[in-house]
Amino acid sequence: MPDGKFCTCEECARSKYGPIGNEERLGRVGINPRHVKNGVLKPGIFPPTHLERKGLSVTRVDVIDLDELTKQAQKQVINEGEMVEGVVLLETAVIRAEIDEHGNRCLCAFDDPVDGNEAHACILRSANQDETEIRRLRGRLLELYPKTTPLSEVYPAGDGES
Amino acid sequence: MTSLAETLLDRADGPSTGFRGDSSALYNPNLNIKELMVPSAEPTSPFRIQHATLAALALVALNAGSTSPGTFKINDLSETNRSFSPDHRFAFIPDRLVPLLGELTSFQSLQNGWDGPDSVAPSADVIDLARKFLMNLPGDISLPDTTVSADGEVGFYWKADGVYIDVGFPTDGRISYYAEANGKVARFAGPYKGQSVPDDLVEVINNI
Repeated sequence: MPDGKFCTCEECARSKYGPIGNEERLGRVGINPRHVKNGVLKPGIFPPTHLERKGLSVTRVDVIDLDELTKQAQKQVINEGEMVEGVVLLETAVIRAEIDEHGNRCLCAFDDPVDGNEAHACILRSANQDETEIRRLRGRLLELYPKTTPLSEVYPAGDGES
Repeated sequence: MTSLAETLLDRADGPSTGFRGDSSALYNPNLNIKELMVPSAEPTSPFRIQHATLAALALVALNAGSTSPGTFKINDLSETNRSFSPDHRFAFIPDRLVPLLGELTSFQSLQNGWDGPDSVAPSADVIDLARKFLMNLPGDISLPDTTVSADGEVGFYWKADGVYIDVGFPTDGRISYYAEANGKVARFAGPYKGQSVPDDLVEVINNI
């Protein structure tokens, strides 16, 4: 794991679940057709300013169960004709291992509970990467995770919560 | 030889910023578009009508179906074209761009909150900037897909093995891109008025 000096926020516990473990999966809900074209994710699912400033919203799928994940996902169906495609299952260890050309970490993943979703977390740039670097990073995310996983396949059969 | 555009401009009886208003009342089925056409030795390229009259544009648009295939195509009255502000309409839209322009048009219907509570709808200016970029892509270049983000950014992307090109228009008057194709890389973020596609970006796209 690269040096974590850029992401001290990862050590803070803000929810009852505590800091995010490297073994955890972080789910980003994909809505069809908003985020998906022909089964493949569009870059728009990772808004540049969210990676840069606001924080990319994800859910800690391994601290909740399928019912709660489904509830969180359905909340994001906003417009007529939309449906939940699935979740992009980002692996915390992989996100934290992403490094730039200088060997420095690019992305932090930290605990960030919000009203109505105690399992909410954020992914954010680690330093002052510029707009073009943010685009490279979202391209990298799309390369690592080109598709969503159906909600029904997030948890092993008969094991709603790990 | 005189091009259609020049002919139209010559016939314009006064300066105008482009087509405005509903032209249906001006449609005259007895008028022949060919009257306005003078064959050109050069292939027609995209152009923007800046000084044509309402009547001339309506005439051309409504009679476009009577022209010979491959001569030219005018679809100024298409839903896609009409969705843009009058100053930004094009009289000529290459067929291959129509689906992408249609997708850009669909972004205009987005409202704040379209992608979650804090999401922002793209502004008309940002969509227009993206449209200008698209219209300025060289004619033989591979075409991108469109994307729109919850932060109001509109953009294009090309994605394949060894290829990731991400062009965004985060706010009016700005472009930001990271382009990588089979070893070639270009990146830039800064002012952009839609006048042309940056050379280094074209070079990478051509390397797909």
